[in-house]
Amino acid sequence: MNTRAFTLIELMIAISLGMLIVYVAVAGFRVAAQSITVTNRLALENDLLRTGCLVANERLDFWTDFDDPENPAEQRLRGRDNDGGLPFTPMSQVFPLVRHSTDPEKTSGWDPQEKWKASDPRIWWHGNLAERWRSEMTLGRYSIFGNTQPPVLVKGVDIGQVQFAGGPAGIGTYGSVTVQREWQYRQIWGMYGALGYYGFTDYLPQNTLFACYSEFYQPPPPPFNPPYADAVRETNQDGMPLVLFKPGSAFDNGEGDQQYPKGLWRLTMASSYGVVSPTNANANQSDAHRARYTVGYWNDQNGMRNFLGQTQNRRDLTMAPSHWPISEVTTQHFIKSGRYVNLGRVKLHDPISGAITEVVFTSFATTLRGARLQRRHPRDGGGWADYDNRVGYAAPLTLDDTP
Amino acid sequence: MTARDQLRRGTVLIIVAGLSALLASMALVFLARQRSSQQETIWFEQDIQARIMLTAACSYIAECARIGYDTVPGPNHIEAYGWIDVRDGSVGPNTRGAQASVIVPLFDEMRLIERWGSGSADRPAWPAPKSVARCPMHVLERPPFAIRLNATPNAMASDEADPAFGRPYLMNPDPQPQGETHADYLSADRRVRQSSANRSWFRIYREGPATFIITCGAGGTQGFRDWDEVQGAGPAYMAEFGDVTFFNNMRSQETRFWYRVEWSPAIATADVHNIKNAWNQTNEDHYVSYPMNTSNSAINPRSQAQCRNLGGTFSFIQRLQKPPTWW
Repeated sequence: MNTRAFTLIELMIAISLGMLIVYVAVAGFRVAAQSITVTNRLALENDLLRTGCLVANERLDFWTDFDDPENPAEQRLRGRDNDGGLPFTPMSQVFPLVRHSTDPEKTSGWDPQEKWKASDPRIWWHGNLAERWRSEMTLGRYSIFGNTQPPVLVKGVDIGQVQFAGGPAGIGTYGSVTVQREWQYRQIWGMYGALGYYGFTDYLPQNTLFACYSEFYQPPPPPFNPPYADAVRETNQDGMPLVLFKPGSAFDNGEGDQQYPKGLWRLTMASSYGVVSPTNANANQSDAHRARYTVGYWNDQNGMRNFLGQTQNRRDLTMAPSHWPISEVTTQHFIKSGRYVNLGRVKLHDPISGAITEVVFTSFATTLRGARLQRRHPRDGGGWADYDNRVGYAAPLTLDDTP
Repeated sequence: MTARDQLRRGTVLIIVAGLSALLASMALVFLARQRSSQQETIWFEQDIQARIMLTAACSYIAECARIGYDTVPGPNHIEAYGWIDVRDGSVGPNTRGAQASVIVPLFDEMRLIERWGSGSADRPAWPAPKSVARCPMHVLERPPFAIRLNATPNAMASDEADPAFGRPYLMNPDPQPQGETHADYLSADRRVRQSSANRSWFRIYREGPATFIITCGAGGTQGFRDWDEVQGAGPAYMAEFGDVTFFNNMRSQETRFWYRVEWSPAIATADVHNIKNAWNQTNEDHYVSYPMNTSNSAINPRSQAQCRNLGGTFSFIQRLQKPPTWW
């Protein structure tokens, strides 16, 4: 009798143990395989986050998602309309340089070589810092010291207005007054409409008082009937454009109810100016770039939503398989409380788990003026303007040059 | 041992070897993946590190415009008047003589004492035009005027048995110096913290009176442009790198960015908190105004206006696509 066989019970136990071992082995492999899958997935997400951050920083440095010098279809911020230009409009179209051969005060337009030396009286603001927007001019008529459009004809008749040649009235009878300073006020008023509010603050020195004297202008009685230019040109009695310093105007947030000319900190303490994303339908209209956004302590969700909607430039990172996390890179350029902010935002959305991961950071990067200097003037063929400092190198014209 | 037993052992060996190979290949793939991720993380870190150097370089330019020229050791520090002198528009930085209007240059662009390469001196010293400032950004063991990282040197006693329990006595100076003596506080322990060595640097070439080429780097070359410049700097620097091969290896693993910037003396405006901005109830004009450097005013209960930067600002910052000839 062969006694080497298993009994039924032994066989059942052996099979059970065998199945258990196989199950454990399979489960172990499954866990290992899943771990590798999860690790790969996390590695992929980390790769995308890293890549997204690098791409965002490159975009913040070269502004290619706002204006691509090599792709005319991505140059929506270069136009101009009757009210002014856009952030990447060539300066020759919005504030062309016209040099005066003998008197620098009479030069107008943007000069990229101008150093704005602090010792140069041309850049000193010769106005009345304490001049209210409803000034009675009890401290005098400062528009005769500096003005965008000299000479000023001051003739006093009735209602206290300073008028230019041919105009009707004004306090005090001075007659035609020769104005000593005009260059800086012309810079301020010219840059107001050149590149939008963000460009206005980016280009002028950081100690600029954003106010100037110009021709006295009284628009038609309210309600205003467009064109918008009438409202922009309205001045106080001394000829200072109200849009620059009247609390609550398009440019002035009215914070602190300051009735006087303001600098950058006050103008941006409770609000922001930003570059409108070219992905927005209105980005090619100049008035879209002359907006202030309420993002200070007055803001509500509508104000913040409008700010984000207008200024966030959201782009997909890359084309990828549908099961990959969807990545989005957002850049944003704005000024708040006197500080220029270049914001990067990288967002991942996992279509499988639904999880969202976001990295938000600021970057110290190329300014708007720096970005325009990177770009060759259309007259020279467009594209990138390669810079070099070797002796004899003829630098190409940039968007800031007037050919 | 029967042939059947040998067959069984061979089978077990094959199974074990197969499983081992499978596990080994999985581990190898995992390690390769980790190494790849780590390398990408290092590049990423270098990119960020180099960008931080732009902030450091701009801060350095702003500070060099006004402060930081200890030409004569002592408690008094030489004040400058901007890269373009705010007094007369001349090339700076200059300090003052007996009167504020007397221009005293703090540089000598005719005296060539540095080298672009291994030849004779052909470059003036910083801060002259066409000079270079090379700044490795390691951390010192103790910088001068270091403050101790103790935020609460006068913490209130929490032991009820302590006679000072619950009383906010200001018994200790706040903040406290890091050095043990006054001399320590004024001086520094200039040894390099090893964990911070060879990680990042910036380098500034003064291209024009107020325009600069900033090179931002993350890596171990300490801001030397090439091996020629190391040779020009002298044997001590050559010894640090050993030879050209080692230097070039470090160079090849380094991240470098180039920016062009223009300094401006403009800082802020004397409007808010300098002028009585909120007198708006009675329509009157007025002239109540205080200067930028006022320490207090009757206008507002603030001790300082919104003016915290005295070194200047930047008219533009421009990333360059490729390095210019001179940097």
